[in-house]
Amino acid sequence: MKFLRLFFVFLLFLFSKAFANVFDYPSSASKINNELKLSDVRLRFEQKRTFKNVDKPVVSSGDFVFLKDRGAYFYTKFPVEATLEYTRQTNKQANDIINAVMRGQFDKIENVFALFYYKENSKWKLGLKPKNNAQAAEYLSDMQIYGENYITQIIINFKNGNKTEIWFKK
Amino acid sequence: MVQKVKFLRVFVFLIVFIVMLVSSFLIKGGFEGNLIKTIMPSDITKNEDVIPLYNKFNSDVRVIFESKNEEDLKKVKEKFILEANEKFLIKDNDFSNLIKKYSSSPTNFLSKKTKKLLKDKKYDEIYNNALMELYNPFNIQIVPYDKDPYFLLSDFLLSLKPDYGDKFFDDKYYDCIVLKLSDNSGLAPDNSNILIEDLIKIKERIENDDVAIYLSGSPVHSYYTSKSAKFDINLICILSTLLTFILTYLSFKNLKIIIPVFLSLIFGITGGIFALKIFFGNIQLLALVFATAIIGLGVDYSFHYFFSKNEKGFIKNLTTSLISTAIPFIIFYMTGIELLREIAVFIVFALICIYLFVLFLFPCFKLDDPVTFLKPNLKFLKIIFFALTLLFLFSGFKLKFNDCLTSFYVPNYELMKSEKLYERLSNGLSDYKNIIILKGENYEDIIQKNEKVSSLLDTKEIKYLSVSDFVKSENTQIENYNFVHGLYNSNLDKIELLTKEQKQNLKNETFKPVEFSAELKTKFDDFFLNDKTSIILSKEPLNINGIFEINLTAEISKFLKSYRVKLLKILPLACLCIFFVLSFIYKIKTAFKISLPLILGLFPTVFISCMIARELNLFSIISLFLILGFTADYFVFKTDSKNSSSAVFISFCTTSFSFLLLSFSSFKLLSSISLVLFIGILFSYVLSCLVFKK
Repeated sequence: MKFLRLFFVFLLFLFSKAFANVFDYPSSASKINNELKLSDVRLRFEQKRTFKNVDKPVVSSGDFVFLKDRGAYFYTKFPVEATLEYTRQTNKQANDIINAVMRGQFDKIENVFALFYYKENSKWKLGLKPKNNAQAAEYLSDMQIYGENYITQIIINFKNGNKTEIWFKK
Repeated sequence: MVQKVKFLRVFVFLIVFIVMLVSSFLIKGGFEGNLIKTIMPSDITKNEDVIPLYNKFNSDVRVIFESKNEEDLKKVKEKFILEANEKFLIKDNDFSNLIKKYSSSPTNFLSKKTKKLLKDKKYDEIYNNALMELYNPFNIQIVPYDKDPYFLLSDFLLSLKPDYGDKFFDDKYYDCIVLKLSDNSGLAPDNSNILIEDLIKIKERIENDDVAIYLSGSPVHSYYTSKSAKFDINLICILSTLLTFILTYLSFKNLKIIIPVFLSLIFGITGGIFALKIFFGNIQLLALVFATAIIGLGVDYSFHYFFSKNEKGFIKNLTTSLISTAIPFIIFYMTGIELLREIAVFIVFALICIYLFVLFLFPCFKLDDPVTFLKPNLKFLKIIFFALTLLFLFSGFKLKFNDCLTSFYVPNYELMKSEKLYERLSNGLSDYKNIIILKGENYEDIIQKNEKVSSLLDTKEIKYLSVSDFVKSENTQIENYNFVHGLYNSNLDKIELLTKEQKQNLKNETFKPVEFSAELKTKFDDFFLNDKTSIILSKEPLNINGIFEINLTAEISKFLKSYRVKLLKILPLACLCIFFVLSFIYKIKTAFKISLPLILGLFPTVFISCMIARELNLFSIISLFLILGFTADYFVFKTDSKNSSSAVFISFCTTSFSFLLLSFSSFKLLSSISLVLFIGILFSYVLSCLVFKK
């Protein structure tokens, strides 16, 4: 019985690491820049958006492409065909965040977001919380990005209760 | 008996001086520092909106923060605001409350693009746009989805954004706040200079190695200009006075004669101001700046007295000199240009006072005769003449005029940089030079008129900034509401995410107008001259009858050009008048001998000045008249005075030295006038020496 209890505590310890809340791990741009290196990538994505006062979630899927020199592209294929560009010219603010993550330029967003980072083995978690005086703080609660060799999941929580979740697969 | 006459003269002059001095204070009117009133003709400035408009665009100070680190920048900005808040009104640029107002009735606000689609009933296109936003992971929704399923409010807010420039470029973060100085600071730079000095102290105290602060805006330029001009003028005054003292000491071996010279100038200046008060009431400060020429002219009379008082014909020469000097200024008066009229009245009356002082009071002083007669080296003068002639020939006889107001002033490197930064941060605000003035009975009426003119500007594809971009009249809000409800009635069923009840709620929503009067008084006061007058800034004129529009910079430049052309046309008249007056006093041959070199000297002056300064302006032409006035006495006294050479030499040295130094002034207006004056005076002097060799 004692052994079982110890085993249970050990399991809890393991799980606590695995499910660690990234916002418990404040970090800095320089540290993340050194540790997080991502390259040009083409992935499949699935997205779920939930809106306040709306029961049904909005689900979509398609291809995601990131090119260091140009920006990020969401080619939505289901349920409608649509292309969303995050380049220097279009959706600049979102592009800044994507760029920072993909190119390891966190110093460029460090002034707007408090940065959180946690890594175990090859898996990493990144948290972004808008600073109180930043304009983004009016709309955005936080952003969580998970990954290994490439981004595997993004969760965006908005202040008004809306939420966006995106899963990426090769 | 002689003593009694002397006493009587002194007494009379003293009484006249006191009367003039006291009257100058008692006569209603003060000093007018309003530059726009000085330059613009009265029929324009009589328009009740022009002066407030000029003030509005010249009383804001922009504070720009620059740093590689945004956090450092924000800290410094907050610290700056905290300190500046005590003395300055910081313009409110927090639009979060405004967004709350928009959110209260999201159907009342539409972007131009969406409104056109709704007008054309292209509901499917709007639906597709909404789908795009729905799947946009970073889409920020201002109001809940069930209140605005087509994301129309987000679309409206995004349509307002292009008016703001990027705040991150060249690897640096930037931010800008706008401070409003007192209501009249744009018109009276002296008032704002004290405030700017305080602001510079705050800036110097707060900025650090990581965060740079730049100040820009008209009051800042005025401050640095007047500061550098003051320094230049003070330094040059000191150096010129020193030169006068040295030359006086070399001639008289004592400095006692400086006292009557000084008194004559005080008497002359008082007489000039008295005359200005009698003629005009208000005195333009810019007129007084030009009127300082009286010092150079007045001192000449004193020196002529010291060197030639015992000669026969001295009074005739001094009178002729007075008349020939006064002629160009009397012509100034006839131009009808307020600034020139005031300069003319001041100089003519001050000259008469100095003339009378020299003739009647100088004999009352016990003054020593000069012991040394300073004379120029003729060979050296011939070399200068040869050099000036060569320069004249090299000039290619090309003339280029630039009447643009901005050409009178070149800001220093830091101010230039701050203006460029503001240009970038404000997304090229200075390109919106045309100002459309709209009047209305109340805010609703004004906004409606703004909307009408804005749509005319849209039709002509002219870019503009109008309060109606941000604030909609009730009529437009109703129109937008109806358009959106047209969309709801035709297309809302396609929106699958909403329940039947939510759709019905949207359709049943009644019109709720949003009222903006509080915001119009605070956040949007840049668009208003007063409660009943608003302005639209556009890149090009609308050119529609019944709509008053003005481009202040172009308008001032236009008047400067018209004044320059007018003055160029009357310059020959001034020369002719001098010749006719001289031909009455002297024989025709002598009149020719005096006036011809005096007048011909102006040609090389103009061409050489243009070659050196690259372009001429109104003030260069005013300088030509001043040259006639300054140098007429050189020729007159050289005609038949034996000892005049020294007096003319001292006059020339002191006057030309001052202008030579001023031509290096950092203030372009001052340097361009001084350059022309120096070249003109030098050429006239050399000619006077060569023509009257004896």
